Amino acid sequence: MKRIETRDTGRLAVGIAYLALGLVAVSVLGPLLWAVGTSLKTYGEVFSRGLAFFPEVPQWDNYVEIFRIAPFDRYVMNSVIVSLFACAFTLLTSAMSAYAFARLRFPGRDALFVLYLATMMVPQQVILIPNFLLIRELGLLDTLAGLVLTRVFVPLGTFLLRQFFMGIPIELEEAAIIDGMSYTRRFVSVILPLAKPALVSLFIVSLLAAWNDFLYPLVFIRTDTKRTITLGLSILQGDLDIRWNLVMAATIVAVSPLVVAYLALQRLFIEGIALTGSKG
Amino acid sequence: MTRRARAEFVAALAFLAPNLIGFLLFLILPAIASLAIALTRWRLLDVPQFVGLQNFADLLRDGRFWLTLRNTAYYSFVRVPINAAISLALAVLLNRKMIGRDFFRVVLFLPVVMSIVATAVIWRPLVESSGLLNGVLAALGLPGVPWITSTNWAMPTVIMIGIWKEIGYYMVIFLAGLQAIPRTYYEAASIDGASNWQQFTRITFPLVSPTTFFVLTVAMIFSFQVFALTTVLTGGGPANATTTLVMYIYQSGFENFRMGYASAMAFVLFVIILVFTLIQKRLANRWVHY
Amino acid sequence: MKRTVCALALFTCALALVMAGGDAEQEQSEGPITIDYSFWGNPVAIGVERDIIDAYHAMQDDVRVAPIVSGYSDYHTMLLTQMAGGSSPDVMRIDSYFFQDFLALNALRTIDDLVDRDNVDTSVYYPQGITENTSDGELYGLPWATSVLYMFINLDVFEDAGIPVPDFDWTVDDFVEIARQLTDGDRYGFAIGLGGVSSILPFVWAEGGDLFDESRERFTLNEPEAVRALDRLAEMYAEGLIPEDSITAQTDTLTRWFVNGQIGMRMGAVSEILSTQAVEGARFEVINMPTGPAGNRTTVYKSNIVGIGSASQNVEAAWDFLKFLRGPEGQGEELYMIAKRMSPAIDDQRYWDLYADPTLYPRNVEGNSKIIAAEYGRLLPLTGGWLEVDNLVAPELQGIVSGAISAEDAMNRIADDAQAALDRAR
Repeated sequence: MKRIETRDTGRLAVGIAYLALGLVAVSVLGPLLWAVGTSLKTYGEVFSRGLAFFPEVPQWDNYVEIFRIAPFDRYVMNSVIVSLFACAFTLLTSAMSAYAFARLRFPGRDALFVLYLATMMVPQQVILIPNFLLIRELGLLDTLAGLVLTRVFVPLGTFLLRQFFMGIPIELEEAAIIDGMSYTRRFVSVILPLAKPALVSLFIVSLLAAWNDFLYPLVFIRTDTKRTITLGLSILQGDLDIRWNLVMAATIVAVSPLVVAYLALQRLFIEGIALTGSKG
Repeated sequence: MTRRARAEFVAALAFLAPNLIGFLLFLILPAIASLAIALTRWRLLDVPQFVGLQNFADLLRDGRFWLTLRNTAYYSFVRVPINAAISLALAVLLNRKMIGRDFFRVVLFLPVVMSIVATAVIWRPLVESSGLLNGVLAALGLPGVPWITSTNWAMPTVIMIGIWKEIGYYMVIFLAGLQAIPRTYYEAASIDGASNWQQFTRITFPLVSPTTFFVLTVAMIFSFQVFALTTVLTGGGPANATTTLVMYIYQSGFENFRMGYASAMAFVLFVIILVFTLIQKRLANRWVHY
Repeated sequence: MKRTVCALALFTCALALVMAGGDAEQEQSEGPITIDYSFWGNPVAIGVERDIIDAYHAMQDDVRVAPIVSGYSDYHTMLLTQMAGGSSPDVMRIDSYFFQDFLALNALRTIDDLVDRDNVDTSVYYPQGITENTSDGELYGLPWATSVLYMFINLDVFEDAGIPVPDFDWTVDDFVEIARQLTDGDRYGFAIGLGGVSSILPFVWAEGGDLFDESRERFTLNEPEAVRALDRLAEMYAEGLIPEDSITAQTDTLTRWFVNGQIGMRMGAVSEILSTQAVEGARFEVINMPTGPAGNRTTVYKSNIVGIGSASQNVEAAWDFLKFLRGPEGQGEELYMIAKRMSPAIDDQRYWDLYADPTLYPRNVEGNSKIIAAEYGRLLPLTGGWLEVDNLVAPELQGIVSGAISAEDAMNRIADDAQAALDRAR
């Protein structure tokens, strides 16, 4: 690679790459900058200078105000709890079932997998009422556990991990079979380490899904202190007089844990390179 | 069954159980319930009345159903390939060692973590006729575009914003897929004098194909269920140009008090995506390398 | 294998732990009765409700009120899901758009018996509010936020164009002419959101048309009077008196244009007075919608409902709280008025004094509101299936004003579906 980059065509390619990345980055950052600017405007400015990128005087107090008008710290905390539990269980259970689908033979495997795939296609809106009844029967209305439970068994995880597990060369496992390892050992010590990038991306994907979940929290949760951040944000927009400056401030507060999580997990990707690189 | 096969079956069952139990309870059971509801007339607060296939017969004659289905297909089939291509390209670029790599990776991921409502709110003033986007076009000497007020432009605008929001999402998945490709392959190719493009077509693309398949499948499934973006950005307008099937399902269920009808539509949507996914899966055997 | 079993056991334990974190359903035994009260709102509005609940708690010890809140846009979905799942709140607010559908499904209990027994004087409310809470002669709730959809007038724009604030008897012809005079370069005369039928009914009424016939059983927006009104609006768009962006504009976008002087007039609700007032230096007035050959009553007058769930197990407690919240003797209305989030539903100067602040724009909100209510207001022809009809009509309106389809064709092509929706809901 390095050798190619030193050639002229390589340099041109790098130039084009930076140009493309730069354009995409600007188109991403531009609108986000406006959001940050809006979060620092006064309520009046949102309307009177709506299109302006920056406020006349930055209202840092907006970031304090949102915690005054609603327990946003609590909402964020609840979202963190729900998301982390949901992610942990998703990763664990999905990895296990994905291993079964990818490596083990059992009757009805393909049919069952299609069933998994198929349920991703059922819109949440129509299973909302049946799920509400279910959660009520389990006595889990107005609990974070109810939110976790309805989030864990999304078939997406099984699908994603199966896809990656199938990409892991079977030879790597064969050595373990010869060593007489059990399925569990093979799963834990051969498959999982190799699937680290996949697990990390599943973590990100399911973290986002859990974090942004709205419909279930809407109907399951009633106590203010158990609200998740998405509910809190929607309530900020709950009437016609929406204070968009606060909505934007709250949005930025709401996404910051995700950005931090992503930054942290980013590192794991790079670690992943070294790992798979050496084995490949 | 041989002893070995039985052992494997038992192991499979044990591996499946934790996920399968919850899956059956929280997804299959409600899905079956919703299928049963599709055979009834149910106004949410009364006792469902069995009407057989009446809801499905009504669907065939419902122009809005076909219109919203068409809109949904338009959104999905245009959006998904473009989105996947951009995400893959960015992932490939950002998988190499380069200055500012982490910066770009983080920046491109930022829209992913924004809520859809925030996304729509951010974009609304940008796509106004006197908004920033038309300002940029004017600066380039180009005529303005009626982004979300014209029935022809509204859907492309929604697609553009949908892609803006999700390129980072699929980029991350592609990045994970790219990690699994051994570095040594590229080193060998470099020594053989393969160009960047050749490396991409001969190594990267084939080897990342399981991820591509995953991304296409999942993006398609999600796109077919697009709801929040269009609801907040355009409200389905103008003149239903961006009303999607799930928006119509939601309206039918919770505003028109026709949960049976809504469930029937959901079932049809389900079958459509299922058929499409199975076709994709069948086709995948030709280009996906395991 | 053993390890798999272990992992499974561990998982089950962890799951049980998470579940144990949740509270079990609270059983009522001794002590105060807890009732559920559901409403929509943003943090400011919720604050008002909280004040009312606190005041109620301070007054008595027998009943505790547990709030169930969401934002407006998801409120009825939440409510319907919970009710379909067998968890009906004791006291609930319902938007009048949903009222008849809720009634048809027996979601609300009549309060006639309670009103009679306790001699609650319902004549103190603006009568339109009572009408909106009544069906088949029976009262199902007490009015909440009885108010009109005003025409907002940007005084700066009007002064700039040298046009006086219109009189109450201004006609649609006057309105079009004023819009024409206000339109200048980037400035437009008028804008409305086209997300619902309520925004165009004033114009339809002015021409003598309506959404439904007298009995509210037949869809009539495809009849000549209504079509004429819609054509007229389309002409205004074509002439450039209304910005094209307003076809899909949301209400806060209209507020932004209005306070920036990009539009001279808009239609808006009471809560939009609040957002407009938030902009320093915004000078505006609220008046009635233009009248027409068919009469003066062209301004939408609307009232929402606070009622008692038919499944409530605590009717007495619910009624006691409802009286406090909305009754003539209760403190609710006073607290709502102090918060200035809506105009009085009870016809009493005391409440107007709390609500109207003559130092703020709109300066004449009290006087104008009273005159509009008495002479220019008109109730929507609400009926079961309203939302479904609304969902059918709104997209067509957007098509009509953008010139894609004639008003007549558009209304004719949805007439059958709209009629079917009406028939189905009955």
